Amino acid sequence: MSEIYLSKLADSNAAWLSARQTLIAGNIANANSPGYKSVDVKPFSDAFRNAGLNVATTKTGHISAGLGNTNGVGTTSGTAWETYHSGGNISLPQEMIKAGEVSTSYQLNTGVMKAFHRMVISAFGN
Amino acid sequence: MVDSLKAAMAISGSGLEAQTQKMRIVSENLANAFTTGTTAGSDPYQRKTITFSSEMDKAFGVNLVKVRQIGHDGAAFVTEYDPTHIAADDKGMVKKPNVDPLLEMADMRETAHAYEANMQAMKQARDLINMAIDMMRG
Repeated sequence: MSEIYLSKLADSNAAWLSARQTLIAGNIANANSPGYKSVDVKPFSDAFRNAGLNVATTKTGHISAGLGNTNGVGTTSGTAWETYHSGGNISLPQEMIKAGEVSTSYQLNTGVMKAFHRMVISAFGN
Repeated sequence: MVDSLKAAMAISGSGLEAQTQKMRIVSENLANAFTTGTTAGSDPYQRKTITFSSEMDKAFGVNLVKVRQIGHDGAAFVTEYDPTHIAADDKGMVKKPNVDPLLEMADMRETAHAYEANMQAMKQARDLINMAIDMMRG
């Protein structure tokens, strides 16, 4: 049986979900911006495989990744439900569904971590 | 992780602000739907339009939404025969604003929907942050 690094897995998953939530928020905010195309993150399996390949800032002059950065996660243009005359393709219902998925997954993630934490605590005994 | 959720909230905030501006334009148009000129043959209120664009925010490294331009609708004015009106020209025609209340109502609905969607995204980002904090409670 291979080892499972649960905390690392949960952490990358949470980071991936946060990045996805950021992109969804951007899509919703720009729903009425002409020409703005929907973006989404690449599947988690891709992001997890490529984890740890981020560029490090070794000098102060380097541009560090922004707070809401989705680097290492990678964005992809989402599959649009509709296209408007103004060139945009954001569908609010679609974004809401994506947001729902994020919420469910995040809840699962934190739930698993909570349970794992309880296990660790109980292993130490009272 | 929480930082990108904070960025999500900043984006939703900019979305709310943009929709507020749009709502202002809609109410301005509706309020002035019957505003004519005050001198003979002068132009009435011209319908205002608003466009958004996404703008890179350097602090967060994400695309916020900004009001790009508040312009004027170039559509022709509606003319009506009303010789006693103050803005009537020598033929007795008065130019009325090119505002279509029905269109404005539709715009208002759309704005309200977009506002709600932004609000929902913001709420959810907050919920996710709370979930992460809740892990500490065990």
